[in-house]
Amino acid sequence: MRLGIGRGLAAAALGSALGALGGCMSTGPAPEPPPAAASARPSITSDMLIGKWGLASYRKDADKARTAAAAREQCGKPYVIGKGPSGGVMMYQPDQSKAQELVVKAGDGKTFIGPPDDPAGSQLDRQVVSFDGSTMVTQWVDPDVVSRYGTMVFVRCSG
Amino acid sequence: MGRIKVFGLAALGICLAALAAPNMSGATTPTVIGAPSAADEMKVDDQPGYVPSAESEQLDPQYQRQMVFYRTTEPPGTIIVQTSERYLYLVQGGNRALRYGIGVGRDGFQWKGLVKIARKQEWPDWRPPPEMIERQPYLPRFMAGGPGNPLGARAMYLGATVYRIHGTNQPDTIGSKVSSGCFRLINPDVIDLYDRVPVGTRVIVRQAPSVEG
Repeated sequence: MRLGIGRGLAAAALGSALGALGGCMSTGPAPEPPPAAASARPSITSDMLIGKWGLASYRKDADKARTAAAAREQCGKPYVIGKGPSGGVMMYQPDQSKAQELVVKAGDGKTFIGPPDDPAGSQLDRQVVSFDGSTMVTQWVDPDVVSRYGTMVFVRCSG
Repeated sequence: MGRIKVFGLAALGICLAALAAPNMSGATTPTVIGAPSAADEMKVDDQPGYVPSAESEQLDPQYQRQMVFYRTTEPPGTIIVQTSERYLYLVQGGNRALRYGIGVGRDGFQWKGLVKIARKQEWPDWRPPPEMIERQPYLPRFMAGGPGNPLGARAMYLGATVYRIHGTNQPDTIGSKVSSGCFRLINPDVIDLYDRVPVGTRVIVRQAPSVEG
């Protein structure tokens, strides 16, 4: 399954608003965020993410293919995505050694994984760039995190 | 060699990210020096994802790259690492050498010997050691080469050993005993050195300054 591009006008409008919000959040009091993607449905569900994944990262597109191959070889040290107590997924945020519950959310026709209380596309989210069931590519929203850790490639481990 | 591997594997440091290398030719067997010790060493975790600023790569004057007077019988093009000085010299001939400030192995991880550069790599990939994954489970298990990689901008693999001359994203560690036996330079310096030396370059690793120098 590939992610769809559009999810309706409501989602697009909401996402645009949230995208604009993202750049302002660190400079002053943020306006009250709208309900997180209430009218948009993400293209993937939490359950699709549960399991063990090989995880690798790259910065240059030229490294994407070999990074995916490298991720496939990392199942001996898997990144485990568990089921959260509230139906989300237990994943690690950058520089955080404890897993926390995140949710899959949609905005502006895109799918994100991030804290449940933040609107889709906020600084702490990662965008799901692609997902086909066995390989997921995610990109951090925060450009600082992108520069440090690059684009993440998850490859599902067998068994 | 066996002893080197034991110490190296015990450290599981960044030197071990790539183990395969061709056989050394015309090289001596490196010898590990000293015993592991917790004293007098810089305990700094790797900082994957940290991108050093140009400012932070401004070293103290004594560790900045510079041409120095250097007497040696070794031919031009030879690299001489003086571990105790924290300097790497690239012999120029005419009693001169280009000197770089380096970070060296911690106590118990230092070694000496003659090896050759077996392979060179721009922006080497990095694989965090297992204990780092345990501490920092959010890390990718493989990071394709890039500015935030602990191995820095360039790597030169030393013979068949697990050791390398490489860059670093931690400029503050230059001048310190910090590694698992590799020699690290700031990225601008390792790029400079990389461009000057070919595969096959002789690398002499010494502990104390040579009497001829």
